[in-house]
Amino acid sequence: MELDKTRRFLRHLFRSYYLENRVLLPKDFHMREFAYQPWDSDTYKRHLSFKTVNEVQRLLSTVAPRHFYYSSAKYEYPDEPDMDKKGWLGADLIFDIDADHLPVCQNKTIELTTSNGEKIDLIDEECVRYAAFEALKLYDALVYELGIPKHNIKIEFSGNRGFHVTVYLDVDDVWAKASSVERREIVNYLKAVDLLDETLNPPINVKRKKRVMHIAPTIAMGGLRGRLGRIAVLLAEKKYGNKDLARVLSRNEIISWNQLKNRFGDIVENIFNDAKEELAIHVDEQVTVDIKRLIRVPYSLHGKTGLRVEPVDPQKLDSFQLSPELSPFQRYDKIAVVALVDTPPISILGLRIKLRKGESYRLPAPQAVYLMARGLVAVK
Amino acid sequence: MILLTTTANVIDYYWYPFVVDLETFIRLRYGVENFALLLESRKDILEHAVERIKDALEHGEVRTEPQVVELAVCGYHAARLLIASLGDRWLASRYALAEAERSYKRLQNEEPRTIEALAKILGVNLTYLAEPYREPIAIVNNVVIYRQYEYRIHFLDYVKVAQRLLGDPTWRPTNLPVKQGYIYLTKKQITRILKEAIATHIERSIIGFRIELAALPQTVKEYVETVKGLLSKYRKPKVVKTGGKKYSIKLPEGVVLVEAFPPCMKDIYDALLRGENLSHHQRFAIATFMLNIGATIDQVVDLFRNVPDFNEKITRYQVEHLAGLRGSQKKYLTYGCEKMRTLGLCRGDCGVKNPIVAYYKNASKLIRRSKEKEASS
Ligand code: SF4
Repeated sequence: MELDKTRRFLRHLFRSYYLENRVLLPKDFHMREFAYQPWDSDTYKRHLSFKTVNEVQRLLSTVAPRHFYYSSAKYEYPDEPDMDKKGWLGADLIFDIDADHLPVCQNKTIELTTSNGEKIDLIDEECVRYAAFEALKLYDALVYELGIPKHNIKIEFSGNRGFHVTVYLDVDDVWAKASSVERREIVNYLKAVDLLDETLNPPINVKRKKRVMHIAPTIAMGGLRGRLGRIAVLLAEKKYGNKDLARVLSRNEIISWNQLKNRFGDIVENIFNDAKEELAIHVDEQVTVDIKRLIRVPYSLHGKTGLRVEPVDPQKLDSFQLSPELSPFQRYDKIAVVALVDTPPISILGLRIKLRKGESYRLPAPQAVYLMARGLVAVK
Repeated sequence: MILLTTTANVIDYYWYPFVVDLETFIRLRYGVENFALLLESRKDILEHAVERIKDALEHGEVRTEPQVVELAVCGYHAARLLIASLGDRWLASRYALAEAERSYKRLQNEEPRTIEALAKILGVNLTYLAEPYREPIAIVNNVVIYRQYEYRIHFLDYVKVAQRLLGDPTWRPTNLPVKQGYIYLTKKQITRILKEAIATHIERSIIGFRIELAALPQTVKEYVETVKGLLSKYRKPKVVKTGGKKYSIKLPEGVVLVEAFPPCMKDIYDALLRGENLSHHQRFAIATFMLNIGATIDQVVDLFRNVPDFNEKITRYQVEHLAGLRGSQKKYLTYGCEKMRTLGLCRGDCGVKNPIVAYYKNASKLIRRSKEKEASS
């Protein structure tokens, strides 16, 4: 495929990034398969393997790939092209949270057709914040419910509109050996599939009903009750800004609904109703059940946005937002581009813009690169 | 009774004969190596084995109570041998479930150390908690009431053993206390889980039993024949009627063209007829598929008649539920191809999004062809 001017330009920018920056590799990277997609082809180069970090950087700075991945699986022979002979040893637990799969973000996308007829959709940038909250819920569930050590869990902004949550595992860890069938049950559990009402409100059998006081879930309870308690704490703190209530709820004291309501009023009910809506954690099932998935390498660039795949500290998830800072080209000069399509008003990394086909614009580099990578504008 | 393993004083072999290593047992007890040869001179064991199998076929539960432990142990293993020689998957499952049912009766009253020891042999990693885990559920008269859980099991071990129970929401981890990677269970729940593990263990040990039919002593062969006879008496294979005579694209209710099934459904269908024990997803897929292409409730229920744990009442209830006649009153759709693919049930690339569409596509082709034939003849 002959590269057009825009793609050549993008490849040039990516190369300059990789010449100066290193991607982040797990210590067992030599057991993983690497793959990339070049700019001039729709097919992936797969079954690569590397012994040293320098080899990886050399590839990146010469090829400057459009997308760069390693496998969630670890293999005896990572470069063996025949999947059956690769010698699967175990795989990380991986979760993909994509803003456009969240129920709250349905109908919040704008569909556009690029110059070469490809359909793309741009999601409302606010939705990435919902995705961040989802990632936070997932992190808590992994730690408190599934007992995954915090330091094994890494969260990254995907470079597009969501988050990747990876549980890095040694190959002999029980979770690493889990089959697809078992991983599907993890997903079902996280999604709270088939949740029964009596799970959240356990029935109690006593003769004199009057004497019974029902209790609020606490953060230390097991399963979905504990999750409900933890989400209520998050909401009290972050959404309702009620620090007192958040403190009481996170004290892990057994407290009846009546006591809580007497003290804090109607807000208690609102918070727990909201928390119930948030119980399911929306991860992409297909990604998690795949025990040989390719995942984006942290600090590599996403070829459809020009943004970095950026590690995010779980504590900082709630302040995460899409901004030009996620682009390595923030300090570059403005770039002159030509719009290839007409668009309604759209927001790109915080910049409101409306494109008219054929017209020229001088845009800040992060937004210009984003739109070029998306195929909505061409370099001038 | 000779001490065979360190577990002998914890596990009563009479109730759990499957934990006994056969080779060791006969070597120590009778000084022989070859079980089949031993059986030649021990018709009482073979008789007892047949008794056990007959119970399995008749009641779905082994009920016979032999006089001595030795007979229980050898009888169980002889039954395994007979069923393995016959090579019938359905009987293997049916028998495994029936033996599990027998053990289960006893299991419910066992001491924690017995439950732990059994679990270990079955490869189920569970722990008895000297101090039970407690979940508060309410305050009554100013006193906090707790629900107690005496056992815990790792999440992954749980979903492995409980796989076939997961179709029932109460067994889903969603509705259980999951904490720090473990699921907490009551004694009642843990014994029910172990029953599953026992059935799976026995079924595997029958399927994995390699036997040379020709090398068996004559007496044993005769008993294999006896079992064969029993099997054909108890298991009248029921095959779903396929197709009527009148074909039209809009097929009348009750007309099902098996020839037009997409490969995924054909596979499950065949497995059902062979009497294999299917997963929840497989059962769900075929039942909803059949209902959506116009099969009657009876046809679908009939299809399940061959499965080892068939219970007409329960199956009918479930199928009626799927058909939207009960409960939520919503008719369930069958899985789409994408879902089938993630479940590992897809068997081809039919270029459709839903197996139902594949069915109608194939059906209309079939019909066209048969019409063409009619026209040309
Ligand atoms: S493509 Fe669809 S219909 Fe065909 S086998 Fe796969 S799941 Fe079945």
